[in-house]
Amino acid sequence: MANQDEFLCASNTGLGWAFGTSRTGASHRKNGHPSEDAFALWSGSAGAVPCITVAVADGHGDPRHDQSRIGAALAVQSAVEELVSFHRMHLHDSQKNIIRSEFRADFPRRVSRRWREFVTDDAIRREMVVAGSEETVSGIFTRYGSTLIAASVIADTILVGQIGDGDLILVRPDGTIECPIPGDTSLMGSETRSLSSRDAHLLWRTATLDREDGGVLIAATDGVSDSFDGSEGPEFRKFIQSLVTRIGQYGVENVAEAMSGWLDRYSELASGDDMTLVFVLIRPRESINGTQDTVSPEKSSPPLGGSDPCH
Amino acid sequence: MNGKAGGYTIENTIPIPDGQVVRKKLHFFWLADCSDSMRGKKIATLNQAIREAVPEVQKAVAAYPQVEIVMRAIRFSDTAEWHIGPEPVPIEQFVWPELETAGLTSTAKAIQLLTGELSIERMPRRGLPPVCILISDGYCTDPHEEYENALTELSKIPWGVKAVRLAIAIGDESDYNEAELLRFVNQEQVGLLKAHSPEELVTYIKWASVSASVASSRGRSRDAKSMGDVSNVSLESPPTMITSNTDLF
Repeated sequence: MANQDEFLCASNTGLGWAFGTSRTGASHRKNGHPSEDAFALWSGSAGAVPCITVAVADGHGDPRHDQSRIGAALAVQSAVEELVSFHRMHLHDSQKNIIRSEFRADFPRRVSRRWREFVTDDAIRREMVVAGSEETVSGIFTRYGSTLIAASVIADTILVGQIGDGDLILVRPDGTIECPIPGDTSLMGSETRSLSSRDAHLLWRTATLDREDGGVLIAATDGVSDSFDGSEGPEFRKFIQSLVTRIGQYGVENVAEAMSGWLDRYSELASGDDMTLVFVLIRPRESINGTQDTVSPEKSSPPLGGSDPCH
Repeated sequence: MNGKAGGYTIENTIPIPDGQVVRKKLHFFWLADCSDSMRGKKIATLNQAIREAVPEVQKAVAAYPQVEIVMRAIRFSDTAEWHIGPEPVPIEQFVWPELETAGLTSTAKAIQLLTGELSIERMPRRGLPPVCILISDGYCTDPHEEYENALTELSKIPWGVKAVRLAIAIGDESDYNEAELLRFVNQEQVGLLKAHSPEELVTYIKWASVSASVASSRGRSRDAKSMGDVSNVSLESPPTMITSNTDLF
């Protein structure tokens, strides 16, 4: 789990690289408040099957969610632990459709439950509730309310899930943008879905993607898209495509290094919100004869103006 | 990851990604009664109070530099039309033209005009809650069903529900329909603001515009499930006024 304002990376030679940056928003800095965002990266393998997992969470800012900073940190921890556990459980499932259906059916329930366990433990440890008091504990979840985006690249499959606002986008090497989880059009203004909801497991939206030629998977809290014209706006799309072009032109590490300055600038000039952005540079899937495609993602530059099925 | 190259930070050598950053827009609507009964002291006070309120709103929201307030105004008498609009005007450029009085009180038509502007097609879903302040001194002269339908339509659209809707009634309680104006308001703890005197009208116009703008500007995220079908923001109670008997409307 990353502390705020840190820049972290994780890598797996077979799958690719993951980078994450989180910045305290201009509004919070001005008022001396800490960031309510969190992110986590994990890479490793089990049974010789590699996996990269990322998670991004945004604690709700409203006063009724006064422990949301911790709620967000516990959310990314829950996501990573559940995705790693899922990876280990399904090592030997060779059929993609089984992995996908298991993910869709199980992950939302398991991660929501784990988050609630973490929150309960935290609240008891900090003496906010009394252990065993069912009624009191059930009321504590609202105070820890948070969104959560989680993604895992396992072998030739990309698993993604989201509850609440924020953006999850995959840019393919040819510049095509894929938004596997469409925006929730039932929400207005600053409303969001939350892990703290009693029926949180039903509010998750999940999707699975084929790894194919890889690409750049981007997960970000809503502070980023709100600094442009929102998740579906053309200016945010320009930003995403341009970011991927910068990765191709300047390399992942240098872009990751520059990211914190860019996010600070966006927060200062626009949304004022905390900003967290994680990107995973996914290598192309191995071909049948065991070799990999020769395109080096760090050197390739996806063309701008690729088709955009998100609209 | 050294971040340095030839004495210059790498960050400085990488152009910032494309995409135009924008501040969050807060849409502010005045709905001002300019019927014949508003003539004299009432309209003069309203004109002056709004002119004085605008810089105060600007000053209060300066604490939220990420917010850009854009204002519009609907005037209503025999019918309802744009006093300033339909294009929203940035608050820095907002100038209140003198409002003249004549005719009846088409409150329903003013609400219909507002409803059209709050539709999802014209107002982004993820923006800040709009602020709508209705100021009137009389009974709506549109047919009762028209008023009811206008409020029903407003309450059907998402931003109609989530907006901050306040109303200021001017004059003696017997001159206006309190229940009718109260139905426009969606801030229970505020209720209908009753201005019996010019001093109260000025105070309420300033308080309503500043408080609503600041509350909307905060834009803090909340769990939708815990909110229900209510406004995105809630205001504190309005200031308590001690009415002077010497200068009533």
